[in-house]
Amino acid sequence: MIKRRITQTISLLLLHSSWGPELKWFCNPVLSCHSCVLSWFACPIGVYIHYSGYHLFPFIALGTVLLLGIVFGKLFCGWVCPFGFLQDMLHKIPTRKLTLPKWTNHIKYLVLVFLVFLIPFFLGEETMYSFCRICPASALQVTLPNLFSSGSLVLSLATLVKLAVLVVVLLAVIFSRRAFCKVLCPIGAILAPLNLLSFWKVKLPTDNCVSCDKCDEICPSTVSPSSRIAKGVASNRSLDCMVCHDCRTVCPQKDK
Amino acid sequence: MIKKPDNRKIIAVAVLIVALALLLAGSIRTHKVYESDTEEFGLLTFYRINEYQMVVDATFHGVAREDGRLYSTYDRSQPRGKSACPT
Repeated sequence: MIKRRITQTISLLLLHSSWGPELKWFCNPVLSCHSCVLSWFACPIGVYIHYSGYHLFPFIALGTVLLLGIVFGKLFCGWVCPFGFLQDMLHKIPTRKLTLPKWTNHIKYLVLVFLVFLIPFFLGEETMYSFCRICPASALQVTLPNLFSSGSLVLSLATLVKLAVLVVVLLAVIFSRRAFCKVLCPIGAILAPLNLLSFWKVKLPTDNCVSCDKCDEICPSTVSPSSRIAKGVASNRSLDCMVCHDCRTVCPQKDK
Repeated sequence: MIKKPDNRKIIAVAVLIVALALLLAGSIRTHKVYESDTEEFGLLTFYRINEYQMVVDATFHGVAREDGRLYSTYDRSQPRGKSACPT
């Protein structure tokens, strides 16, 4: 887990440092605002929204995400995504913790289809109803800094909505771990099916599992890795697993 | 849920091939982006940009679509620094 935190910290710093290169042709499959001048890479969601508005097929943007997804699954979600890191840290605030109903995990697919592809296709890339207009990462990286630098207290309706979504998301993740990832993240929606197929495997000792359920207790995505281990299947073969490897870290049998 | 590992690996390799094919297709693809407000001999001038440049333009609204054509929102003849946030 410490390795993951170090990787997340380095990722947060490197991906948002203006002293780095601008490689905006590369779509890094994490939630980091595509238009932030500090970012090294592009957010694939922002690129898909614009391409939908342009009525173009995103060959490079989609090919990149598919390539990284089929190789690594949702590893980027668990180890690289800066917004995921923020959620992990906020969840450490000591409060009562809640589990969202399973059906909420399907909302992100609707977000992907409508707010990323269909609505921008029909209404244009600058439509107020695209995902970029409610993206909490964009609210943190772009909207809030712009507000502070402008010094203006007059907020448009669009800005108010964006900030409201940010507040709701940040509150939700305090109570429910990685709530945004499970419910709303469109990048997660694209990578989720690739988790079932990816070449990356979280290797756990499926043969000598003692059913201690420590993996289930530690799992931040609450996807019950023990159920797959019992079937001899890699624990990351789940739509919502973010390949954090915490299940492997706590497994008492992994070195036997 | 895919149960047989053989089927999973076959589909994974197929997705990998599709991803590589998309990247290859994107690498050779170009786009016609018109300059806005400029005409020569009654014709609109345009640039041909590659897919990588289009991805970059998509990150800061460097291109806009109007009447079925793509128009540049900035002067491409001038060197461009780091893009500003449009939102």
